[in-house]
Amino acid sequence: MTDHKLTKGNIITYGLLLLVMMLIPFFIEDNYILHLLIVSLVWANVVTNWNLTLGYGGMFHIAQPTFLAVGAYVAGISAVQFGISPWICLAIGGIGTLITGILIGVPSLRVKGIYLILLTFALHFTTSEVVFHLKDYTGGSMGLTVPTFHLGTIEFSSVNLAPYYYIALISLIASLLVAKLLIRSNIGKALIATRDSEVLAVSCGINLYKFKLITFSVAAFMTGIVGAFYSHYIMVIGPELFTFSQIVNGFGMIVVGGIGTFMGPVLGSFAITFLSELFRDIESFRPIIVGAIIILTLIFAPKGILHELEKLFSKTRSLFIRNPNKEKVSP
Amino acid sequence: MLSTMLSGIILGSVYTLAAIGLSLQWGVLKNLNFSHGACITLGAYIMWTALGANIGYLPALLVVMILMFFIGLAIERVTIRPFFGKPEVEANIFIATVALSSMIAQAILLIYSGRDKNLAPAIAGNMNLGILSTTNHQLFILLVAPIILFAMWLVLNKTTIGRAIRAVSQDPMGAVLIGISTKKIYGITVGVATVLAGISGVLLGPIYFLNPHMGESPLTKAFIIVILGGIGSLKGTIVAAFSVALLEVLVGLFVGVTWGPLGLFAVLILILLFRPEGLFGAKLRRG
Repeated sequence: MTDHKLTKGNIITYGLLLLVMMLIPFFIEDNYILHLLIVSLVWANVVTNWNLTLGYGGMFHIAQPTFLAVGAYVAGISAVQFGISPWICLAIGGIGTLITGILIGVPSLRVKGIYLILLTFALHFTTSEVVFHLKDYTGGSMGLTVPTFHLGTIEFSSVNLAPYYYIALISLIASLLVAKLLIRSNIGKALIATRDSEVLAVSCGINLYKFKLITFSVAAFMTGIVGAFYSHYIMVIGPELFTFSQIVNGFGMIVVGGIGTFMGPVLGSFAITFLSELFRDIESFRPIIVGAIIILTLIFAPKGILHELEKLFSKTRSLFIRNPNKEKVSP
Repeated sequence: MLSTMLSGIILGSVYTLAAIGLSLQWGVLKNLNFSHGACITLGAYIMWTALGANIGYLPALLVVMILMFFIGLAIERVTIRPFFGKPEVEANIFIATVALSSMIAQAILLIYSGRDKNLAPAIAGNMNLGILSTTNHQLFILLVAPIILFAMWLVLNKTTIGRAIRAVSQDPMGAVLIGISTKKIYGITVGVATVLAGISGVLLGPIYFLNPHMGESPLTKAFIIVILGGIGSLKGTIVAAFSVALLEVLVGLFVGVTWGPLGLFAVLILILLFRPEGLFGAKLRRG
């Protein structure tokens, strides 16, 4: 779908983007905007992993928001009930989610399409039932108050959000790198081949199930880590992690950014997060607006709004530069 | 114990109605309409409004059925039809209907507020049957559900439109060749299924409370039932619906109410592992 080679131009673009992202906390004084950026980064991370399985792996499921919640609760419970340091909880959250991912993946990745959706849908409801049921550990519907990070003299608090921002940024970069490595590896090639033509791929001897399971588990692990981070950042985790709007918003980000594109969902998550913020005054209309955006995008721009903007951009460019593709045409 | 079995049978009847609609759409469209749960909620709320207008129970039910049919047509037009014949149909329809169901839930929240509401039962009061004591509404459900199922069976098997629906479900290409407009059939199917969702909402309303998310739990169960019973199998759906309902009330009785969904989930995984085509499904359709 997209070009996976790192060209010089690509490296420069990504490098500049990274530089801008690293410098942002120095220029933004408003803590609220920084908070929104952190939330966007967290969601960018979630949808990157979701898109890795959904867009590239062809596994259509809704497990990623559940994995975020699982990571958050595993880390939160470890920190609160067992007094483990939040830094170690990041890893514990990742591993706990990895185990959940494998437990779900082993039976359900054998089946495709509707069945996988339903199994992950059932997982979503079951997890929230378990969380409400185990009140003594999870706090039930009251939520769980989770301690935050400590590191030397660095201040982690609601007035100094910059350290959180960097952790979120680093974990997003880690997820993007893992996704890129996976896509460029044989696993990714096999998965893309499978997505495009399953019959051909299987007849070439690709062990589909194994590759799917690996990708699904890796995505679960990365999402678990960011879930753990989210739990130590937001400091109170509760039932809102299981609301259905989590799934809808995640879909919105992927759809707006473009399913199966590498950076699309990342930008989509920033777009949806800040767009919902625009409608803060009419908060109760927010889900309706997001839903309408999703449906309209699917109908009129199925490759994502980003793709449409790109097309528009190249169209306007071709108005000024006459026939930009001329030199590419071989004689 | 006996009254538990009775409530299981009553739940089973309602689940059957919800699941039949889902199964019908699944068979015909080969896709999931996720907004089915939101339609269950919508049906209950429309009934609440209609009953508030004091037009009597059966006319109100008729209003619900007519409105739900047109809502179904609209749902098909907006979230299903645009994606046919394009890549990623399954994913697009699912995401669009998920988005729609969140929009419907939010719209209901805005119009009716989130507070739990009571929906009046069809016939108020209780009935004592010797050792069993039950509400009249539950007996009403026991009476109405088979009638609706029989009507569905009649429509599907004895009318032209029903035969056309089955033809499209079996072979869309062949149906087009003999002059059936698949688009029209898709619309009618979603319309009929939405009516069934609305009726099950009306029947469920007096058992639970009305709230904007009341349809989610029956939807989950309807999904499990359809998988369990096999797609497009009327008999399978009915058997599965009653098994799920009985399992739910028995687990609720012996283990604890909150563990019911977990038990169902375990059953679902086992079924998918050992018999992915469902207990009564004819053939496995992968992907």
